[in-house]
Amino acid sequence: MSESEVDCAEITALLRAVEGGDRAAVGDLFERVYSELRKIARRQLRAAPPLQTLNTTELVHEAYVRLSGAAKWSTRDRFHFYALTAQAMRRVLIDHARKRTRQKRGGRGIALSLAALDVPVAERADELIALDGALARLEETDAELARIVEWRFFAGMSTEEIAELHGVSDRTIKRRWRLARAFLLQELATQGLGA
Amino acid sequence: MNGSSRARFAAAGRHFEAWIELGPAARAAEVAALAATDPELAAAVAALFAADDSAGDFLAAPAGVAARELVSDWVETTEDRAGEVVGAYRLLALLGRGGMGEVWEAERVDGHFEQRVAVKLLKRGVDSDEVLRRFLQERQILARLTHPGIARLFDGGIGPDGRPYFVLEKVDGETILDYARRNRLSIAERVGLLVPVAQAVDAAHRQLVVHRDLKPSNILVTASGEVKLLDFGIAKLLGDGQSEDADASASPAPELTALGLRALTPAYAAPEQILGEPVTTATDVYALGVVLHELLTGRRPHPRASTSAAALAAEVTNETLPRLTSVVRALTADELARLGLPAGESPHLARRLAGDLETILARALDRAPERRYTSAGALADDLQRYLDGRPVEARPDSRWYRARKFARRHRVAVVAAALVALSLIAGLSAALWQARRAAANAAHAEASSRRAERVQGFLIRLFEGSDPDRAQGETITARQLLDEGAARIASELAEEPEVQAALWDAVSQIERRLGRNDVALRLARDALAERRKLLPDSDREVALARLTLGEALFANGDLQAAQAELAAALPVLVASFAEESDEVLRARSAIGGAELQLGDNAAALASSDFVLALTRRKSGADSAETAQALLEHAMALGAADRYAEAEAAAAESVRIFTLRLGANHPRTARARMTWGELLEYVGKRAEAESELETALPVVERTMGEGHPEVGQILLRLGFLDVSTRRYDEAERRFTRALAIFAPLDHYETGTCLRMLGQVAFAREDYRGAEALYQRAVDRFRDKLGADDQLTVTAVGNLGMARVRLGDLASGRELLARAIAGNEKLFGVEADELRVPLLYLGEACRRAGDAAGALVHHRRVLEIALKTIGEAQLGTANARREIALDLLAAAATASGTTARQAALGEARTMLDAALAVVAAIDPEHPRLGEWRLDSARLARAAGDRDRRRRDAADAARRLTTAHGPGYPLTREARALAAG
Repeated sequence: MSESEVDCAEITALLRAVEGGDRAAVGDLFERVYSELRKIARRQLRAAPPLQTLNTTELVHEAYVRLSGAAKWSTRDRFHFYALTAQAMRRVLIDHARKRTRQKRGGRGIALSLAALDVPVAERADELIALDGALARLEETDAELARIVEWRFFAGMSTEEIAELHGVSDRTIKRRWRLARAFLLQELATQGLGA
Repeated sequence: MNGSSRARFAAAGRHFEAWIELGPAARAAEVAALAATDPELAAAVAALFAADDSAGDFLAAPAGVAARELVSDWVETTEDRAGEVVGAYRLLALLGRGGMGEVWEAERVDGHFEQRVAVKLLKRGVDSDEVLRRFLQERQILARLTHPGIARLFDGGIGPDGRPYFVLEKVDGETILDYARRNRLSIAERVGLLVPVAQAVDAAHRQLVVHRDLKPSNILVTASGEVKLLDFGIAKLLGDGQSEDADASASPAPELTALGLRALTPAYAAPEQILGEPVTTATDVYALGVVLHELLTGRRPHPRASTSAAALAAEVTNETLPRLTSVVRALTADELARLGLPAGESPHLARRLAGDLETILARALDRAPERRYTSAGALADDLQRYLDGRPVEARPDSRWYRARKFARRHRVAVVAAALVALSLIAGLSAALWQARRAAANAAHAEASSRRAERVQGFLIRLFEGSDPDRAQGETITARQLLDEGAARIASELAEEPEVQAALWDAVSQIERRLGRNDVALRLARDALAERRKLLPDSDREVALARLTLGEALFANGDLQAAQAELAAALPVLVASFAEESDEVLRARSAIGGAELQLGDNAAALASSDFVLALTRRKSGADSAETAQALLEHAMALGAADRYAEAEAAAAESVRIFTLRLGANHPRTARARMTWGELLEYVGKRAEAESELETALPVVERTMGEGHPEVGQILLRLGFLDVSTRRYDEAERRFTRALAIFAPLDHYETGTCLRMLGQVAFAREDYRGAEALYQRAVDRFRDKLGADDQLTVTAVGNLGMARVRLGDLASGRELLARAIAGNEKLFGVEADELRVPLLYLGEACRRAGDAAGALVHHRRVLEIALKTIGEAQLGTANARREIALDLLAAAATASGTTARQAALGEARTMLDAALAVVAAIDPEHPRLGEWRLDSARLARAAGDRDRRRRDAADAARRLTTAHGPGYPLTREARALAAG
């Protein structure tokens, strides 16, 4: 399948299957979302001037536009879509942070320099991995709070959007976001990795 | 997480959400109310609020903002391209991947060269046509860039997939930072590592290639310790928005500026790169400065955390370079550990980096390109000067810096160091004591007692405020306290100039005792200036400040100025205090020291005699004060060449110090050091060595391993090693001493280099000796002037090495200069003339001028007989040289009579020489060569038996000393057999 062609009907069908509790569909849809995110990210990075960062907000929204296509998605559809997308974004970032720290600790380093292999990346990677661990504990404690963090931090969504999809007020999401953040800070502090 | 903790969090979370929008006061009231019924829950809620308060910008920016670099390899295709052919190369294995693309190990398809190369495949999105155009334009220049320190660019082009690629020399190594860390390189070694880097950059600059993206990952060190710079010129090919190197005058269009950020790494980029201003060779100098900063401290000078070009430009515009010492003090224990310095260097890091290195870095990192070093080569030179202990070019106040001279001789340095109070606490209490004394005087009573209280209060706060985690031993704590104290004296006591001056005075004395003479001088100057603002010159406080300043000037080697201050202070001190007071004694003792150093031996002897008599009467014959006075008197006696008396006085001083303070006290050790040196002068080498060996660990422990006095002991021990021909041991000691003196800009650096030269010379490594002597000459000339005895001696040594290397013209010229210099200093019959004359004669003989050689060598013999007497090695040596000259003269003699006469006298001379050497040491290592001389002479004279006998003996000795393959051994064997 080329980059320009997305079978939107198929995506919508998968989404509905997920909502219907089809476990297999979750994996399928996740793969589609993941691969679409990657394509968009690639294009974004190629076009972007250097130093500009990967814009996860745009990435996630563009994925929505491309994958939903002409299909009319209900709030419920969109909720599930964004939940999966934010999860995918989290996995992308954390997987690569892990890989990066492994590379840095691998000893020999890289024989020839490339801009991206400088030390601060590894430091950020460490932070991301620590955050992921704290987030996992938040999931066990309060899954909804964890989802808000995924949406807001990993998918770069605004509190208004999150509020709309949850069907609550923006103020509520802001309060919940602060609670989630306080929990994460406490978790990180107990690991000696406070922000 | 179990159910109950989940429920607890849910409860706390409910309260958090209910109250989070309240003001802090209302929130606190709610929490307090809750605490009355459920303290545990209230604590949990309070903790959540506290976390919320501390959140700052935690998670404020979406992850994507931080993650571009993280995902760049996710978005690039990851398929394995091994085996693919790019240009003339086959890709073998992926070496790395990053923001700009991938680097592959590759080999030539046609197998023409075995050499593996690195192929850099740029990622899509780089403007291929533009890169290719620039590559074609630059190819000639880059291809010419051949330097051992620069990885070569072999080739480049556009690959089958349309992506540009470059073919580079493959370098196996690790980054300069990893290398320094893993090998636990010292500060000096790290600086030394950057010298070839800067030189390589300089070489590229001469070829008109600017790197533009120097950073640690571009500077590799191979397993053999050689540096290799990667990616030279690549940044320009990738397009940094600059059309030309040095003459880009037009400011680039905005979009070019944005594009310009493509190929640079913000943390290492010079301000002009980030601001889109012209890039020049100074841009690379800046990056080298950043790398050096990181090598030395583990941190880069500026955070450069902004992620957008505009924010970065704003950040750069507002940057100021932090003080290196503050950077070091802010390092966490972890950071310090990660830096990987040798164990001894971490605790002293701030002190080691203060001064020259800080100055060098400030110049390299100046935000204005025109104020940086004019070239990377100039930076390399300055780093080398730092390593050699020569004054660095970047020094801000060069007049003061160059005028500064250190204690001319070791014994004087001891006086200087010993002048001060007993210890840190004694030094601080001296300030209190002074204040108390002054309090007894009605005129000073009130002010003084208030000052004493303030001083005491300040000291208590200082000790309370010190961080016990950073204290790693007594001396270090003292230093940290002092550093902190100096800053706080300035900030906290600005309103109380009198207290401030009293503390500066006290801290100045302590700093001098700790060997930080420059700091001591600055503080003493501040103290005096402050007091003179408030008080007339006739006031005792001003006189006391002058005394401290005089001592500090003395320790810095500024003797005339020291004498002037002390002379001004003395009458006021005598009038204010009793003639026998401690203040007057202190002043007289310093004056005696200055006299000693200025060469006024008679005055120095009189001063020290006076101080000793007074101290004995005042403090008793067995007091520590008397021991100190004895020591100073011993030094004055030594300077007057009265070594036997001096040695006796020093021995007595050590005895009293041991009795009063114990054998392990630093003052006992320092007295022992002087005693050891005097023992050497009176020929008691074994005892000298034993005393010095005893003093060494005590001084190391109490003064720190990098203290100049440790260096002085090592030098003395090294001299003893050389005189007993233990060259390996001598080399170790001189090398260690060099590592101590060089960073201190101490003139003894020259002595270390000269002595290492002597060791190399003794090992017949004349090339090595030449280089070391040259550095010693430069060093001495810089520090002491061209006419100084030490400079003159080193010039003579350099001449010796040149003669042995066969560079006779230059050797003779240098030796003649050394002889003239010594004649001017010591007269025409001075002992110092012997060595240069010996080698000047040798040079003549080698040049075929046996008659000239004889003139010089006969003069050596004459001087030797007068100064050292007949039965000495030096005298024997002169006779042997004369014998060799005569042998050479005989070979070209015109008549048989002249020939016989020459050979006859040669035999007499050589036999006399051999007899002396054999009497001193029948197994003297030089006897082998001398017996060979004798065999040669016997051959010339036709004495076959003598020839065979001496040659056989020579062969045996030479085999023992140098092995059977040594050329002279072979010659001896041939002469014995023929």
